[in-house]
Amino acid sequence: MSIQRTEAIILKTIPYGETSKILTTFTKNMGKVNLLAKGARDVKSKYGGSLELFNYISVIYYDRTERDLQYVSDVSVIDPFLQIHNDLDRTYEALAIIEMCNRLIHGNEDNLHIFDLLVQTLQGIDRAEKRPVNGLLYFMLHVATRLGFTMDFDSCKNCRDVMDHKELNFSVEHGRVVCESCPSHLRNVSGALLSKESLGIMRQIARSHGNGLYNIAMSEKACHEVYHLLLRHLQFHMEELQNLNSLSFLKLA
Amino acid sequence: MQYTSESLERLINEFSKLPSIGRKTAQRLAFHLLKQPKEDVLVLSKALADIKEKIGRCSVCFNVTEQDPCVLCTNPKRDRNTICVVEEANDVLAIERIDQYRGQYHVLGGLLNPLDGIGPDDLKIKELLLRLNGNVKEVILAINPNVSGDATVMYIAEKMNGIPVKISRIARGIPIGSDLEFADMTTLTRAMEGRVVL
Ligand SMILES: [Zn+2]
Ligand SMILES: [Zn+2]
Repeated sequence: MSIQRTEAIILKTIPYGETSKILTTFTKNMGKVNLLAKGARDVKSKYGGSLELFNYISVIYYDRTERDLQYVSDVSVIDPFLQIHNDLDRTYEALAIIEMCNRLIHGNEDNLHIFDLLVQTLQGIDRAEKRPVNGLLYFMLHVATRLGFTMDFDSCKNCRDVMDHKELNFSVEHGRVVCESCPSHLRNVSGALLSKESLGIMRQIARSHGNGLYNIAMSEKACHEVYHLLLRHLQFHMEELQNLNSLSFLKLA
Repeated sequence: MQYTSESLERLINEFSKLPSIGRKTAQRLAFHLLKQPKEDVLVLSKALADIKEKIGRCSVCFNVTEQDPCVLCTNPKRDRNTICVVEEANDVLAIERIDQYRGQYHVLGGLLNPLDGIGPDDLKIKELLLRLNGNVKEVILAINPNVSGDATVMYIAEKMNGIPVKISRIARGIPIGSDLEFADMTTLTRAMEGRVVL
């Protein structure tokens, strides 16, 4: 047995016994770790509100590698994302993101690049003065890229034309746009049509680094189009992302 | 392990399906019952059968009841202007225990839980909104302070927007007898938000 200290985001909580709680956490250093917090649901628990969903915590636990469930020793909150908890749309968006993480992350894998993306996105959704939904789109696009399923919106997959003023086909399979002058069989492979507005938004989201992300304005129609293309791309490449429960709660769905 | 009685083994199996009862406790309970007089055991078995045969849900408040509407809904001494909304029937018991609240109840039968796919249609929210006719002046949401509880509260508040009924949520904050200095960020923030004017 060893004592571990790590940062983590809480992906799921389930009640256990009379007053305890089992947490599924995405840790910075150890991938997914299941933790048992004894007495966490008791009114006078020392944990208070620190073991709630989404919370960004620093946790100390006893690690028995042979077990699936580790015992929490101490917790402190780094960021409780209170604005997410205070707003229904932000809550739904954050839930969609942590459900995706819960499906994508497995134990004992180094996923620092995804962990950082998750923390950055939750902070963005929490702080955004407008359009927190952009955080969800940002996460979907960048999680694909970081897992190796890059989406390139800059030039035609076939002829490399930069195509600035046309409606375009995006090939989910290849992760690239295909222009209209190129052979139709290239376009039709798992293709989806992108309007000029949506293409511009995708390019902006792909390039933004947090700052300015929440200022990207878009019509409701384009927002739907972008979301559904991102979802198709993710689900095409990652089977784990089929049938996510929380997506039907989004305004976009 | 092999038991010498099939009936005993079956009982132990059934006990160990209950929440927070492990195999050892199940065994202890089964052997305890084995030693009891037959009449006592029959009383227990009848009590078990009765909860399924006699108990249903009140068609007004969805609390557990043996008569419909339930005694809380029909009691003429209870205030009809207030509805206290709770997650489950055992929350009604908790509030009744303090003997302070004299209004009506509404049991949602759960909370919104997007991660498990539990949405508003799985709860008695529509039924709550239908109760908000002329008589009701206040809805008190006595709902657990967690993500599902917060989402449920926000959803109901959104649905009640435009309905001329006061809506409140029970306070969240520092438990009585505990020390401020040890409260976590969320608890302390909620306690500040829920402060009362003196
Ligand atoms: Zn081309
Ligand atoms: Zn009733």
